[in-house]
Amino acid sequence: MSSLDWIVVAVYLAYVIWDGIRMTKHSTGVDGYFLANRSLPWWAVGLSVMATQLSAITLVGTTGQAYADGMRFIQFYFGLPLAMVILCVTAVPFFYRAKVFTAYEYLEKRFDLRTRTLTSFFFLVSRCLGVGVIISAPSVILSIVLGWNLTATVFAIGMTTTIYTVFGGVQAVTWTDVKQMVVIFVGLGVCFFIILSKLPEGVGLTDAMHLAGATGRLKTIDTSFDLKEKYTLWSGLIGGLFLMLSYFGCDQSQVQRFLTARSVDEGRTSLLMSAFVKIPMQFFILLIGVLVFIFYQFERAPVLFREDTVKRIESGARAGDFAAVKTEHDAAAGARSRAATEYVRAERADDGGADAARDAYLAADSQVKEVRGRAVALAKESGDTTYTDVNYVFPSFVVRHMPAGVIGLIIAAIFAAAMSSISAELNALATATTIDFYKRHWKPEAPDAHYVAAGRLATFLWGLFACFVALYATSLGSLIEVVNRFGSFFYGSLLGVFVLAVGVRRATGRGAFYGLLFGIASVALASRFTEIEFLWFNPIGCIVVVAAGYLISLTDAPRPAQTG
Amino acid sequence: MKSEPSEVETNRVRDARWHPVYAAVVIFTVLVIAALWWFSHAFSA
Repeated sequence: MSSLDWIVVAVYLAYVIWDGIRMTKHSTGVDGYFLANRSLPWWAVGLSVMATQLSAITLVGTTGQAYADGMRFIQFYFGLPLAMVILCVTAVPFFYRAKVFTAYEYLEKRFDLRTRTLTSFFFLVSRCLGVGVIISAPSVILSIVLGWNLTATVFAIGMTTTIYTVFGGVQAVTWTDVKQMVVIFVGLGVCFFIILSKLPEGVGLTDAMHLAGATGRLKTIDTSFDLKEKYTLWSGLIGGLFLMLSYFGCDQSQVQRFLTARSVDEGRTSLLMSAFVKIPMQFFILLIGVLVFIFYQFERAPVLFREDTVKRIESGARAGDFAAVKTEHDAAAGARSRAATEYVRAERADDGGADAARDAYLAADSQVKEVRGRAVALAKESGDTTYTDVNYVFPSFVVRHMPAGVIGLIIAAIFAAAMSSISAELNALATATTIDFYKRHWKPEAPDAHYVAAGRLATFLWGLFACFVALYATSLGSLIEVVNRFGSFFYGSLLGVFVLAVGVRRATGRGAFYGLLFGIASVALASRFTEIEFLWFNPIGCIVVVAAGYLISLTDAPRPAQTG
Repeated sequence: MKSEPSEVETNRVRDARWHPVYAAVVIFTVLVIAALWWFSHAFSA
C-alpha cells in the first residue's frame, strides 16, 4: 500500500471515530442512548438497516463467490422484499406501539418473563460469538493480503468501532452507518469503472457478459426444487423469506434500527428501502466479482490467491511440483486469453463462427480449472486440508491491480462494511444486557444516567470480548462452526415464538417456552441426520415451534383477554 | 371498572393495514426476478 492509501484509510478511521463520538451529546437518557429518542428519519434508518446486514465478509465473500461460481447467490435475497412487507404490516407497528427497547421485552408483555429471558439469552450467546467472527474474518484476510499484523488489524476494526459505539450509542451507530454506506457505494462504484477501463481494447461490458455467460457465471435463477441445493429460486423465496422475517423481525440488531425511527410509518419506510434496494445492490456486488473474473481472462491470474499458502508450499517438499504447476497454469491461462479474444471477435462479427469459438474458449477455461485444481490439491497437501481462497480473490485483486488511493478507498470500504455491522451488534448486545438482564433482574429502579452508564460499560466489555474471540477465532475452528450452526438453529425457532405471540391468540407462555426448545431441538436433529441445506432450517424451526407451542398451549387455561 | 385490554393482550394493531406501496414491492420483486432470468438467458450459451 502506498502512503496515499494509508492516508485514505487513516482519514476514514479518524472521521468515523470523530463522527460517532460527537453524537455523545444526543445520547443522554435511556431513550436517547438506546433508541435515539425515536427521532431518526427513515432514510438514515434504512441505510443503517442495509449497512448492518452488509458485513465485510459479505462484501469480499460474495465478489469471490461470483468470481469462482457465478451469481447464483443472489437467490438468497429473493425472500427479503416479501419479508419486509410482512414485517411492515405486523412487527413494526407491534414493537413500536408496545414501547419496548428490545424485541424480547415484548415477549414478556405477551407471554412471561422466562420466555423473554430465554430468547434474549440465546440472542446474547449467538451474537457475542458472531461479532467475533465478523471482526475476525476480514482481519485475517486483510492481514494476509496486505501483510498486516493480525492483532493490530483486529483491534483497529474492533476497538475503533467499540469506542464510538460506547460514547454515541445508537445515534452513533446509525449516523456512522449512513456515512459508511456512502464509502461502500463510492468504493464499489469506482472499482466497477476501473475494472471496465482495464479490460483490453475492443472488449466492452457486453463482450464481458458474453464471456461470463458462456462459463455459466451469469446464471442467476435455478428453478429446481432440491432441498440439498443451497441456492435455488425456492430456497431463496421460501427459506429466505423465513430467514429474513426472523433476522429483520426478531434479531435485536435489526429491530433496534426501526425502533429508532420517528414514527411507525418512518420505521416501515426504512424497511421498504431495503425491499427495493437490496437485490439490485447485491446484483451489483456480484457483478463486480464477475468482472474480476473477466479481467483475469486477459491478465495473468495467480494460481492461488493466498500468498501465505504459496510461500508455505514453496518452502516445502513439493516446491518443484508447485513450480511446474505454476508454469502449466500460465501457459493454460495464455491459451484461454487467446481463445477469449477470438470468442469476443466472433460474437461481434456474427459470422457463424461464434459457436466454435465459444467451445474452444470453454475447453481452454476447463484446462485452466484442471491445472488450478492440482495447485489447490498441493495447498491441501501442504497442511491446510480445507484450503479455499474464494474470500481472498477480491482483496488480492484490489491490491495488485487498483491504482494508489483507490486501494485505500476500497480497504476503507471493507472496514466500513465490517464496522457498520459490528457497531449495530455491539449496541444490540449492550441493550439486551442492560434492559433484559441488568434492569429486569438486578436493578429495576435507578436513574436514567445509571442505565446509560451500564449500557456504555456493557458495550465496552462486549467489544473487548469480541476482539478476543476474533483473535482466537482462527484456532477455535470447529467451535466457530458450532456457533454458526447454533445461529441457524435459533433463527427459525425464534421466529416461531414471535408468530405465536403475534398471530396465535390462544398461545400461552408455557407453550411458547417449550415450543422454542422443541423447535431448536428439531432443527438440530434435521441438521444432524439429513442433508437439508441451512436455508430450509428456518421454515422447519418456525413451523415446529408454532405447532408444538399451540398444542402445549391448548393444555393451559385460555388467556383472560379472550374470555371477555 | 374493567379497563380495555391492551394491543399486546388482544394481538390487534391499530394500523396493521395494507398499503399500495406493498403491492408495488411485490410487483417490483417479480419484475426484478424476471429481469434476472432474462439476463442469465440473454448472455448464456
